[in-house]
Amino acid sequence: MNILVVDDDEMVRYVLTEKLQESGFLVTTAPDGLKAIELFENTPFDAVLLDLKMPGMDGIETLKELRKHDPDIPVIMVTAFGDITTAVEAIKLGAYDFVEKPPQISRIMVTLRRAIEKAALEREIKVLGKSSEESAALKQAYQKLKELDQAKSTFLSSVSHELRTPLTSIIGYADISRKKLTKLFPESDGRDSKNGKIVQQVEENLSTIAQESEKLAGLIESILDLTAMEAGTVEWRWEPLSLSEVIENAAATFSAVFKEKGLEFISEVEGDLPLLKGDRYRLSQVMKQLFSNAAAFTEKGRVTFSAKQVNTDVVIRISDTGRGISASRHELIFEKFSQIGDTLTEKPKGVGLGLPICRLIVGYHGGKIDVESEQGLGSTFTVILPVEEAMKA
Amino acid sequence: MPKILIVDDDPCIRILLKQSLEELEDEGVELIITDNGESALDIIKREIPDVVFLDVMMPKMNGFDVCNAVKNDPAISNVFIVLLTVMSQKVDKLRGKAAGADIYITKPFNPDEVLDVTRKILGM
Repeated sequence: MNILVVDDDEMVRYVLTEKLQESGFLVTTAPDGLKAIELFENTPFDAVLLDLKMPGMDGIETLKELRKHDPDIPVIMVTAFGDITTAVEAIKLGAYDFVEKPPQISRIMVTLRRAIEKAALEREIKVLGKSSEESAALKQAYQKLKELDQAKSTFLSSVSHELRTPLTSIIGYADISRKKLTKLFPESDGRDSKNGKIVQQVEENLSTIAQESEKLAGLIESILDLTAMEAGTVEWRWEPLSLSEVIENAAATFSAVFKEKGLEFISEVEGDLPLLKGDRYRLSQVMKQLFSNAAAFTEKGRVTFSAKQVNTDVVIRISDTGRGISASRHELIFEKFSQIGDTLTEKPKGVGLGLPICRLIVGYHGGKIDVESEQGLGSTFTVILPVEEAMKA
Repeated sequence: MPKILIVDDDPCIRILLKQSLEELEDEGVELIITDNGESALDIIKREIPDVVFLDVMMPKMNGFDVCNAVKNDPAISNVFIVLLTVMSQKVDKLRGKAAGADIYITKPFNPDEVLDVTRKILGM
């Protein structure tokens, strides 16, 4: 706390400085009003002890000047014994209080502290007053945003529900029609005749309808998943689980896919992984997404997969020799609806929800997922899951 | 003779289920079809089918309530209920479980899956 002491009496300045410094205040002194104002203009003070009776510019005039510079500065007048009238005038002009000479140090301390505290509170109230208008507007805007966000989620979720029913019909009828057709014209009848070729075409068309609709169903599933996770309405099923089992199952499913694409698949799972608490279905979703990405973006070479315990974490790595991702896009790919591939030159491979969902799932498990990659040199996705993660749901 | 009841208010789904299962008719299975929960409960009480494919969102009486009523009536509580739902969120599955459904199939479903499941339930 920096206090300005203004008194024409050197002795008073000396004593007050001593005592105030003992109590931990910083003290600056001025012998008259002019000097006080000069100091005041250049230094921020927390309070002023101001002698009322000074030659030249007296206490009242100095007070007026000081308050022009800072209307909130707490000023305590030091008055001669019995000079009540002037003291009252000072208070009317905005002085906080007055103490009589000879100044009683203890009283000065109490008054000073109170004055400073009051000034601080007033400043805070002013700030709050100003910001309460702003914060009311912000609150309103926030509320509005929350409602909009809620509306968006509800919209997505109900649209997705509504989409699923007709999709059920499309997939189902395509499947059944194909089966009926095959029953009517068994493949053993041959597909070489003109009619046979038409039958085969229709069969293939129906398969395509079913497959494409399944893709659409998958997309709807992702949108529902993501909205539910963002809204926090996903019911997580926490259980102690063997991560080895989850990742080996996913690896087994995809080893066939890699083989079909002519990719080498190397699995390096070190020893038994520890049990951890997690949601089996969701974690396997993450593994499948990462394998599926590796398969989609690797034309030749290999996919290497490793999992091991490092201290209290399980570290899972999936590396490919695919096209890689430029550094500027490393964070972007975890954003909703962003694509790994170049959307100008090729058809997107998905809608861009896979990795954002993975990040949410891994995040819910207290872990993290990252990518290291260079354009043209393949990518490595790393998932770190803490073993000791407590249940969050 | 085994009986299967199909309950769905959407005609497309009703017919799809019927077509998925109709090859069982050649093997002596009777297919019964209705479009709402109330009549479903009546039919279940009267016919005591072996399996019911039950939609969830239906007018008059929803699938959860039908399921609940069946499982709380000792005369029919053995009827095997397959809940058909467009809702794959776990909370809905839990609701289905709480209502006593034996299994649930999420839409979109695969006709072959429906047939396989039915054969297993009926031991055919």
